[in-house]
Amino acid sequence: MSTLALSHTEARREGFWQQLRRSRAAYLLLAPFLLHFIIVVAYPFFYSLYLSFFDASLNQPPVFIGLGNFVRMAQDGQFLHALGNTFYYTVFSVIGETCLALIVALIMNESLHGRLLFRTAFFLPVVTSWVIVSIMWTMLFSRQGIVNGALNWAGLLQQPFLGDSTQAMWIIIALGVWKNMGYYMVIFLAGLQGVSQDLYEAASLDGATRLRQLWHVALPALRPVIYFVVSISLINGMQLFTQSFIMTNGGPLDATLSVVQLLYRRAFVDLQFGYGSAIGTVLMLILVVLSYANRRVNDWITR
Amino acid sequence: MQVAAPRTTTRLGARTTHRPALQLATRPLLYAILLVCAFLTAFPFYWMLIGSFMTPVELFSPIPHLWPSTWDPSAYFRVFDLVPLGRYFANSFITAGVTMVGGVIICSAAGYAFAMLSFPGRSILFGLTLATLMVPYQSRVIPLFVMFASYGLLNTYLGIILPGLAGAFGVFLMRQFFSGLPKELRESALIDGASEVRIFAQIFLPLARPAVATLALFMFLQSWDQLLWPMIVAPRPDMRTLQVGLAFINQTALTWNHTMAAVVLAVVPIVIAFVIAQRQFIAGIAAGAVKE
Repeated sequence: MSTLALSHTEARREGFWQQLRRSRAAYLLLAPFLLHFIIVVAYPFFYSLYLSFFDASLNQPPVFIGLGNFVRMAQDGQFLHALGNTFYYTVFSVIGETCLALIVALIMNESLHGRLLFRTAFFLPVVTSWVIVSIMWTMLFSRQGIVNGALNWAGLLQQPFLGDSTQAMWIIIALGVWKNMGYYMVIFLAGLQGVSQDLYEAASLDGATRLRQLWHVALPALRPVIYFVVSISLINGMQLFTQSFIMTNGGPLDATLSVVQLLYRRAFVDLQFGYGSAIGTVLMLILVVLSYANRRVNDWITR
Repeated sequence: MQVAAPRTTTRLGARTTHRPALQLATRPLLYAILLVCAFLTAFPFYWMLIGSFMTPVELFSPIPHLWPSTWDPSAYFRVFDLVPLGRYFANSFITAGVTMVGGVIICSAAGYAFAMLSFPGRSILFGLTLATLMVPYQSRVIPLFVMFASYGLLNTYLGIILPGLAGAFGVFLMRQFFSGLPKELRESALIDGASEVRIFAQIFLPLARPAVATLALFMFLQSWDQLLWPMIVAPRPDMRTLQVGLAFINQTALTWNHTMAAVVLAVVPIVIAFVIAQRQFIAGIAAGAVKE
């Protein structure tokens, strides 16, 4: 018995080495990707966790300070403010993007003329970079911009827009919805085209109204797609940077300061690499928690 | 699969147009909603275009003009004197171009290995690859900067390119595509005595042309659109990419017609690329959705 078992494991071990040798080609094809993965993804990931526990700057040896950076963050009013702003942006941009994209996708799924033309129009902002759309919107909503011009033409009061701390954030949210709508619409559209016509027909034979068909057939079928869109939109929202960096530089009075911009300022303006890394670590933890919560909510609704 | 058959899906989509899906509301109302949305998305681009041909005086008139009284193209020439736009464009084309070519090679090789070959550690490695989608790249920016500074990669093209050269999305996209191809193709080539690498490069890669086109487009755009990383790793003015350069334009006191001309010049190549490669673009976005 025992000799048999031994020979078994022996055979398996030999099999493993043989397998490894036979897999040489696979590892060769994977090598560039794995090398890249280790150098610029895995190693920096652990390095940034490591730096989170240090007081580190340029050209000086890091000093271990334990949880010091995290304690400081919990007491840092500016960080908490930036976190609040980022959540605010994320909540409303996720709601706006998901709902508007879904509505437009439902309309685009109907047999209407000129859909290709509409899709091209909706895609203009999607293919344009964040920097450019931010510059465009800065001009649109500036004091002498065309939005104020239109208000003036209509005889309405001109607005400060980006100069006002409440309005500035809403303009940045609107920009997010404006830019991403077309992207998520295409995802919803792909999902809607996977819904079988038979389902609608069966529902209408059962006497379901259009609205009930939407509620009981289209939306349940789309649930995984909605989950997917909310997931990406959530992750993107929490990473807010370019728009507020260009349009308001975090102002007025830090009203649009985001977590990533604070990380950028602490690390690359003040050269506090340790504190900056700790902010990055917290951002990552928040994303993991939010993704997990999103999954749980999805499971709960599906159940 | 999605990427493999974008043409059939669009054709299918076109065929179903004759049968309305839901008929939610009367058609005029639906058209009205779409027109309003399309106006809102397209109008800012229109304003950039006409504004770049206006004089500053006309641009700032209290009641906005929607058509230039005279077409003045001078901003398009002047902006090159005010800002080294040519240099910015060149830097962006170099970095995005190298990222595109390198990314396609690296991601398709890895995607092929994950899809077609079996080897110890395959599922762990693939799981790790997907897990990186959750980690925001901003949290890696600081260690990368420290590393690149100590290896002398600041203000170099390599420094800008390296972190974005490959990614989980590309590997995933290529794996999905290769999984849809018949495995027998590889086996019969093996019997004919071809090496694994040759089978990949000469049989499978040419078959993957639609997926490669999608991937190339995404790699290019992703690199082209970056702001944070190039701004950090290459702050020297002559190394600025187009996005970094334009971000600084916003802070220099250019008159608006010049800024608008720069914006139009930056938008036009991307919009042309989109119109040409629209099918690949839509397929790439849809591919992500169908995976879940």
